[in-house]
Amino acid sequence: MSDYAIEFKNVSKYFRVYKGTKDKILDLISRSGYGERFIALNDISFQLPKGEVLGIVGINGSGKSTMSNVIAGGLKPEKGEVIINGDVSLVAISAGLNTQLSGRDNIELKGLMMGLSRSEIKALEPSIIDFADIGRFIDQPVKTYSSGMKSRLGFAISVHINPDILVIDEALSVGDQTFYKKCIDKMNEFKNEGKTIIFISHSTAQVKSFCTQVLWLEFGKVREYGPVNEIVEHYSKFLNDFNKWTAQEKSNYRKEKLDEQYILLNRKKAHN
Amino acid sequence: MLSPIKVIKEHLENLYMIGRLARYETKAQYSTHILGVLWELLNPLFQIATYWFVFGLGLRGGRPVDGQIDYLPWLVAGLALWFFISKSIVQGGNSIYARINLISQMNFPISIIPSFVIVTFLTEHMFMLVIVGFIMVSYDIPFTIHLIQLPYYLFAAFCFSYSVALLFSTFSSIARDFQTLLQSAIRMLLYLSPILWSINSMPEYLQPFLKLNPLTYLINGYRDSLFFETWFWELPQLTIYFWTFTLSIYFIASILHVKFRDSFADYL
Repeated sequence: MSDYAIEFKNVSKYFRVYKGTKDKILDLISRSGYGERFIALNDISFQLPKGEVLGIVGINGSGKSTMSNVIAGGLKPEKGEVIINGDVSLVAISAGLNTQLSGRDNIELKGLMMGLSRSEIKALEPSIIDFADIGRFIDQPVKTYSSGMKSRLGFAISVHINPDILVIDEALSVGDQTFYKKCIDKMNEFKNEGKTIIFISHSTAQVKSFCTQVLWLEFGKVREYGPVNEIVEHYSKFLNDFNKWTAQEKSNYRKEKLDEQYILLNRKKAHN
Repeated sequence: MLSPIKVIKEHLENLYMIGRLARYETKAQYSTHILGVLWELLNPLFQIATYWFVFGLGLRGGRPVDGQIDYLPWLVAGLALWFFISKSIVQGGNSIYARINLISQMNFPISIIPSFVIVTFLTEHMFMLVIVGFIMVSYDIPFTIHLIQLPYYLFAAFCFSYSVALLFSTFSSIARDFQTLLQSAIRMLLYLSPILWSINSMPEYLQPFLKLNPLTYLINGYRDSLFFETWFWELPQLTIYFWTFTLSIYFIASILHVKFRDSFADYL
């Protein structure tokens, strides 16, 4: 058994971009593919030892959420290898709850989909309900919940099904201070049990206070990876500089970098 | 591993999950209805009443089918299976696309999604069979030992529906046109299959072609079990043809499914 919780070896994830239906059809029938690809993750390699708390930072569009979905196993990369040692549970703002069903039903549904048996879920139910702290709403359909309640329930379910690796994708940004504190306590408990946490956040303060390692993504590439203090310092400095730019400069920079993320597949091959 | 085996294996490993997910699927669907699951009975009843009114009374004037059996029990036996198959194919075909957001966040055996959606239609089908039973009693039609092959035909219908649904779930995740196409095709298939009319009332030269429709085998199979006292092994050619057809679709569907499933989320 490896000492690493997560290993990425030259991982690239592309998304298909079509200009029209013709591209789409040609892409389907040709062996080598046709049309454009957007490189959401570009040749990413890193190793995360077990028990670390990894913060993933980066400006919008840098590939943070793609990364979290790849780690959770929902998205499969086109190139490279992802090795995950353990069960992963993802907490995202769109928590994957069925809005027609009650909170209680969602607990079982999510548990089932994560591979738990009914008795295991029943045993966890009281502590999930207690943690989510949504009172009698637990038996109401989730569509009647406020966004804070939804994220609390989503978070409560994900942490209680006892994953080896917990991925938190900006899910804490909607909760209030009390809930945030509760989550941090729970995550510290996780941390002390030697479990691995991936923490995706826009708040450098949160990352600094909680993470041990930081991965800084920029336009699908790893810009820096290392211990928290060093990387957060560099990232904060970058953000400071970046925020001083005019809107025009920012937009030009973004555009230039984004253009680099598109590749055009060989059109000649597509006709074979 | 070979894709057709892989898909079967995913099913065997997740049988419990299929059952539970199906239950929640039904629950979610009727959670906003006052009458709840009762709609599973009411919906088909309304449809049966309409078809009987139009085709049984209106067009046939109440004449029995092939001079042997009353139209209503004959119709309901066929419709019972038709409702199951048509819903399974249409909603099963859409099932993966409809849940793509959910599954892109976790490692989930995607191939079981059409299955648990199809399993939800079994409840309605059981209600339908009870209705068929009531109608048979009221028409003094005796129950025979041939009844025991209903599970066989239902299983065959499940395999057929699943294979078609799996095939179209891949297609319609890539291009939505296929879902629209499937819906139109199913609407036509109701009239092109011997559900509302009997195959014996068609011209002699057309009948062999009509038997190429795998639905003919299934629908007639239900009626053979309930009324005509025929075993499926008394129809060896049709049985072999049906399973060859279904397995071929299953093979193609599972190969395409495994090939494309990693990129379903990309086609959104």
